Amino acid sequence: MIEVTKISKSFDDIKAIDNVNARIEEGHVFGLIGTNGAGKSTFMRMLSGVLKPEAGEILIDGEPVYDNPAIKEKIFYISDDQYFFKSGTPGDMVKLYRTCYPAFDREKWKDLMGKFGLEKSRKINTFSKGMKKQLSVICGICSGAKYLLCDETFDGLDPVMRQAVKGLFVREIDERGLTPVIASHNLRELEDICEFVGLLHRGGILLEKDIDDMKLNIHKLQCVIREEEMLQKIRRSLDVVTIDNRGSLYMVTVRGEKDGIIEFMELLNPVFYELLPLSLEEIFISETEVKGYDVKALLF
Amino acid sequence: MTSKHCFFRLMREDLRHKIWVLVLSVLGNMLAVPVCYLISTGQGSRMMRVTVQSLTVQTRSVAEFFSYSVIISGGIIAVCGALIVGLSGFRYVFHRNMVDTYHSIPVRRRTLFLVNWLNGFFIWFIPFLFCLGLTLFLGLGRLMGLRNRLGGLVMNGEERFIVSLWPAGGDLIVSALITLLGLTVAFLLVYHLALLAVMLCGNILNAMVTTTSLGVGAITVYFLFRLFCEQYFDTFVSDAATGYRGVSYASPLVSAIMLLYRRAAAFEAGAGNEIFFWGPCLINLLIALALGGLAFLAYQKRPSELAEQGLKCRPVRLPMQVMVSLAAGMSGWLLFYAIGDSARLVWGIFGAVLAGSVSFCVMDIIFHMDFKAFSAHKILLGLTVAAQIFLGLLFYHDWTGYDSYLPDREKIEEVAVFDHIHCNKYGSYYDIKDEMHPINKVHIRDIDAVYTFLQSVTSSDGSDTEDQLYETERILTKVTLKGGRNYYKYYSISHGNKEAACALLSSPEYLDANFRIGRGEGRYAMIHLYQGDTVKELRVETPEGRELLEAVCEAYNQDLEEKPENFIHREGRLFCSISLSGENSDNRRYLEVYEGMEHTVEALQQHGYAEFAEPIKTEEVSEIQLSLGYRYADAEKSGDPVEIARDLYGVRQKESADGFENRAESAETYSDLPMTKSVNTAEEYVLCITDEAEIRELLELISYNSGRSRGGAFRLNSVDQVTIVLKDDRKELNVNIPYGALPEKYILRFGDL
Repeated sequence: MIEVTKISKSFDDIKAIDNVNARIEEGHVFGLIGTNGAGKSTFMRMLSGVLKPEAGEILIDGEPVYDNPAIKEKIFYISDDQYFFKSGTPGDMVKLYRTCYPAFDREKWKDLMGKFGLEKSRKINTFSKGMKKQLSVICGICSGAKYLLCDETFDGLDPVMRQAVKGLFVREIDERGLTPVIASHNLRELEDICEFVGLLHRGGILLEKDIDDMKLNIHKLQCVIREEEMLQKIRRSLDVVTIDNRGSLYMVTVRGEKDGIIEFMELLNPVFYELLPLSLEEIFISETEVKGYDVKALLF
Repeated sequence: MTSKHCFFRLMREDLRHKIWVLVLSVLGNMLAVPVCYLISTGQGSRMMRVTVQSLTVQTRSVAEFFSYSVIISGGIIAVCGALIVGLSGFRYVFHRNMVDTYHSIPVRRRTLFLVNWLNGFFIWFIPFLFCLGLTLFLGLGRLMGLRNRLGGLVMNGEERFIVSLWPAGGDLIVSALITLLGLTVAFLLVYHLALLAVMLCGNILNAMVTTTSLGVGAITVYFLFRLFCEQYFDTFVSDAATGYRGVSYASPLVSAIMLLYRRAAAFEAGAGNEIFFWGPCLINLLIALALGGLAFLAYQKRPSELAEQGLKCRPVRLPMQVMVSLAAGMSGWLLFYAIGDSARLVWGIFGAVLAGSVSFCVMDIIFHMDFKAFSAHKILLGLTVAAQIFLGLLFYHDWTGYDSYLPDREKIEEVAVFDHIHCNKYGSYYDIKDEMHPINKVHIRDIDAVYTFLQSVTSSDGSDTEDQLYETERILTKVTLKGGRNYYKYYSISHGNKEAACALLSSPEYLDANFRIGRGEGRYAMIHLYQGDTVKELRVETPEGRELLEAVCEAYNQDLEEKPENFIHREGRLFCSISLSGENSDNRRYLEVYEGMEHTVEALQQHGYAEFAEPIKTEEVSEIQLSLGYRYADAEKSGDPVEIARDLYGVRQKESADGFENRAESAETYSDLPMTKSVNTAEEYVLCITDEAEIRELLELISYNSGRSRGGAFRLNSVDQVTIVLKDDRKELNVNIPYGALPEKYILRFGDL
């Protein structure tokens, strides 16, 4: 488990991370989302032991990570601009990782390279951006590390490859309890991969929740009402987060259990109503608005 | 990553990516050591005949290679190699993505440092060691070969002695090991300096700037201060400036080169002089270790986010910036001061402000890696420039009172003076603090005379007492204060304040050290007598030579005893000069014989060298030629020959009651007309004096060139444009006449040219 307690980090006058707390459980995919400059990469670099927090502590399986090889063996960090040897091949990179990661599984690496269609002896500088990302993920998976820290790793992957990587993660989670931590500014990319998410904004984590819990407890209600009184009843009886309308069509974000909402709407008997699931983006907008943030301005 | 196995795998892995440096190192060391050895020793062996001397030369060339030549060739590779491996060995810290990779892998930072450090060191050391070992093997084989060839030769006693001095194989090995140590220390100094710079900086440009600034900064500032002292302090003695060694240690790049120089110098100085190498070697080793320790600490503390940034460490950045700006400002001052023809002070200030502020701003841009940062530290920039101007003015106006410093009378212990004009010894004195230097052999404790002298030279700048006919002498002075502290100054002595100096120069202490010929000085091998172009050579080993030497020395010392001031004032005509020389060029004396030195003149006459002890007789002279020198056709039109003659011979125009005398009226009747001699494209204007009375008159003034005719504050300068033509074969003698002594009537005759 990764426990982050009140960490802070500044670069000159800029506060990149400010008093952040987080807890990342093992065996789940954790998504770290945030706008550009929110501090995602800094947070990931601190998790991987590259940067040292100015305050607070980061414990991985109960031990500090900075300059601690025993803990770092459990971490593989894929940065947003992963380094590959100049004129090196995937084989050259593997030599480095095999030297440093005692549990590196070369056979699995060969197998995955074959499955992803990557040539072992081709120079990496001839690879596309997506191929480099795939290579990084494969190396990370095969390193035997328990925690795979991926910074913007899915940016360059096409949907097919994203699904392939997701499948790979699922298998590794099942087999050995891999914990991928994925940082991205693209919520749609994470939606189908992550189980837990944390929203980082201006150096601080706004919230940290299970996506399924969030999805179960919040819904988008579309309805056409006959009179203003109905809208007042909806406001009074349901846990309304936001209300928006286009003419007589109202879009209401409400918290609560699906069955209860349906029962209430049946009794209300509007002209039309429909209960829709929210996208991750919409959930975040709703959740963060509650905390007083104008997330629409942040994310779009 | 703690096991040894993993450590060596990491080293191997790291080395795979530095293979290009390794290849360069192997190539460089091969060229610098074995190839250089084969070239330097192979050439001679093919050309020489097999004799003891030729074999000795070859043996020496082998020994010399391991103590001297390899220091130069291997030193270049070591210093350049240290810079390359230092700056490139940890280059990953300059790139964010590389830092992310290397600092996230499960390797402790200290392990990573050690891996990179060892690889950097071994990249130079292993190829060098191999090349040196190979060359040593070749050298030892060659020594054996030379000894074998010696076996067939018949040797006399002297040759056997020479052969006994041949270096043995053990000497060669020891010599190579000392050289290896010296080169290793030099390599470590530069390597650790570069590593420290790399650890402090976020990119290669900053690392190179920092390496250079730390490597040569301190000594550059030191030498600029010395230049300022030389420029603005009239009394400053550059050779006596202290602190050079200490400052060189603070400049590791220079210190490394100095160490190699010391190793070579210790070899050149001969066996047993390695002692002068060990001290600096140990100090440099300690500095290298300290730098290495600092580099390690800086690496441990180095924030990963420094990659691709500039230099963030303020305690290093700001002093370095000020130091570089100060050096640039001082250089700018000196440069513009030198090229400005008028208002030089203003030009100097302009140069300091321009160079100081530009360098400061450029450093700001480099350290911040941002062009907009050129004015990031305006207040510090202002203070630095103000400090530069203040420093310049401090020197320019001598606000510290350096030149006029006069210690309290009761604090003076003794004074030593030395002026090469007032000395009959020849010698090469490089180190003013060397006990062999003449200044350190004089101890004048007559405090009254000493204080009068110091007052005289510090209270006046001499301008009011200067006489254009005399030169200003700069007398090296060493003042020792009670308590042991001493200082060196060059004091200017002009004709006007010469008496105070004369008291010291004619003191027994000074004369004993610089003029008196000791009784035990039997080391002279040759005597040369010079009078004009006439030279007489005698070997001291002949009875005639030995007698002359003893007589002249005794007479010279007697003259010195009786009329010491004659040796300082040097009045009268110079009849001849006597050179006494030994086998060693440092052991030479040059005695000038003036007409007032009665005993010496008499000694020469008694021993059959009267012609050197008296002037040439009038009846022997055909004519005396007074020359105006060569003048080209174009130049001649623009000059008045009389004025040129006045300038050349130092004869001023006399004033009459009605003003200046009319030149035409004052010209006396004379028989000799000026004439010209054509030489190539130039013409020499010569006045030929043939009148016997005038020849006699001129002979009374003439001194005979000795090749060392010197003027000064005590004796008039000489004009050497005078030639005596003898009746005998019309032989010409170049002689000289005191500046300003030629009667004006001869000057006026040049008007008819």
